[in-house]
Amino acid sequence: MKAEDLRSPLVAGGFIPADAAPPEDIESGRPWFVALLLGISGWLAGIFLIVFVGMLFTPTTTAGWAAASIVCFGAAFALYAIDRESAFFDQFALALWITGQCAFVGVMTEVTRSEAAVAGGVAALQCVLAFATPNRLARLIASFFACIAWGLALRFGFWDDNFFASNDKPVRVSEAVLGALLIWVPVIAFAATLLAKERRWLALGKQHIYRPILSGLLLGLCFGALATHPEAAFPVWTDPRAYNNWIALLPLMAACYAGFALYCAFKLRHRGLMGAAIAGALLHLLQFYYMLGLSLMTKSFIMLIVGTLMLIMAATLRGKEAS
Amino acid sequence: MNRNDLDAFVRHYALSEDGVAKAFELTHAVPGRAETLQFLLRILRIGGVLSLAAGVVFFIAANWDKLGLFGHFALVQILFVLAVGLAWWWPPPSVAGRLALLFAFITAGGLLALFGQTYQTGADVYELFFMWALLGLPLVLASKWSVCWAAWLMVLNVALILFYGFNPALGMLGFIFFDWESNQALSLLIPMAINLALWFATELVASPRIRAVASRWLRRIALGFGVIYATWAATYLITSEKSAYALLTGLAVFGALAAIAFFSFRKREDVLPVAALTASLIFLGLIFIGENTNTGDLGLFFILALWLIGASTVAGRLLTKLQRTWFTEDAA
Repeated sequence: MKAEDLRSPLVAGGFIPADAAPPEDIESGRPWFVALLLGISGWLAGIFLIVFVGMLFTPTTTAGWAAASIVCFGAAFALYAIDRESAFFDQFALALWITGQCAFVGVMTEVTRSEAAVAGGVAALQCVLAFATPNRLARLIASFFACIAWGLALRFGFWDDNFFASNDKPVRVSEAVLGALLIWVPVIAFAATLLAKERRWLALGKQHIYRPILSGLLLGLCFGALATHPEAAFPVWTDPRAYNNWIALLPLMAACYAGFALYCAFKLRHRGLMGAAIAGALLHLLQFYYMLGLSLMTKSFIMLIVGTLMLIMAATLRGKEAS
Repeated sequence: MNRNDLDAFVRHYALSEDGVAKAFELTHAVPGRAETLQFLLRILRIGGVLSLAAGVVFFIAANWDKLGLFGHFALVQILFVLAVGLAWWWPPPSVAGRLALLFAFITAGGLLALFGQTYQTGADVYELFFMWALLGLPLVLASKWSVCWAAWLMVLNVALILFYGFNPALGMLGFIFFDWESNQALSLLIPMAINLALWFATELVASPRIRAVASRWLRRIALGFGVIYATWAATYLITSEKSAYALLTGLAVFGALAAIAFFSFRKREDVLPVAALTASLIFLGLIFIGENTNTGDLGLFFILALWLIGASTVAGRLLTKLQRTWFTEDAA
């Protein structure tokens, strides 16, 4: 349906005044793959820029990093404010925006000397940026990064202070599950609320804020957990330390978060996000296979039980549908 | 109208909450109860079958010695035969038949892995995946289902990546095809050609039955793999390969990319292939600048950042414009 076709019944229903001017150009949406291309390019350019800034000014003190962060953020926001229609300025601003964040990480590292505090600070910064940055793509990236930073803050705070390896302190299953729920239940709740209240925030004219935030949260649910499992986040293939417990189930929980994201993406009719959710769920399943802690026999039985339960649920639902 | 268009529409007319609800209703922006139930049913069925199949694969990988050799083979083969029998009884396009064939296809891979694991055939992993793709093909053909084809395409590409991407010696096939001088970039042309041939063939076919199976998302996956191999080969050419066949390889890569562009611009249906091409060119530009700039690290990082910003800006503008133009033409 085109915008003109939608206008007439809404005018007839009294939702639009009959004399309201039709929009000049409604079909302005950017396809998801273009947003992905721009996002990755902007992010990579930001990384190159922070290296350039680091080499040029060699900020070794907290004040130096803080100055770099403020200047980059200031320049990014100024570019966004000056010309919101220019694609070049948008991309340049995005790169500066990322550079400002990298410099902020430098400040937090200098001040706190703690990975958990750095991750917590970055999570807080991303939350502010998700609302304050006047750009949809930047908001999406900020909310996605906020999910990961929030997960890392709790992970580092609870268990270990090393991004790629584990410490010697064993992690209890109850703690791990509680930690995972603490990380992801608020994200799920926020995403569910945004989805449920979509009509309201659209009516309030907040779509430029909440739409990208919702997409970022759903992407966080798809992939964020890969970074936030205690003991074996990224190094699942390097056998950091064998531990014989049920923590290996965490990737299956993460597949459930991706499943929820898939449902939300379906409700939004967003095929790109649906694909991301399916890819995320399959990655979590792969991680479940490789993650140590449970024997493959146990994992096999778990998968057989999960599969059977899903098919039983499908049969029940089929009966409901038929009735 | 997608959500972005609706966002702009609602914003332009400052619709009330009731107005938004009406607009959603008219555009079917939110799936209804029946559609949601159908979706959940589909996800639960596919998820259930994939979980069961994963359970079987995990079981084979566990190599449970109490079951014995005969028990292992009997169990997996019985499951395979049961699944094929189920598909025979309820042939595709019935849901049960399709799901059974998906299960059978994954179990076939498990059976091949079990064979290799038991008899220590000395085969490389890529041989397992090649055999899996080859022997599983009848099952996939019989399924007439894009999900099964997606699984097959993934298996085929794992085999191709393992063989052509990480195996410079290239084994027996390398001897047959590349005895005149093998190199990595040249060898990557074969998986590129296979994936792009699949993409072109499915794009050209007009039969509704085949189009229904080779849905757009599946064609995009084949194209994506093809472009990745092309980019990979070109990266080798830029960074390391100084072979006598470099020119030939380069021409083949850029010929393939040009063919994708030509075909997409002529058909004017899907912008994603053009986006994949531009992403590839941006990446190759990055590698080229990195290899050929002698300004020192400081200048290099600045130039790389500028390249990314400039090239992605141009790409973003072009792709958005194409999307608008082709979408408008399509609607008209």
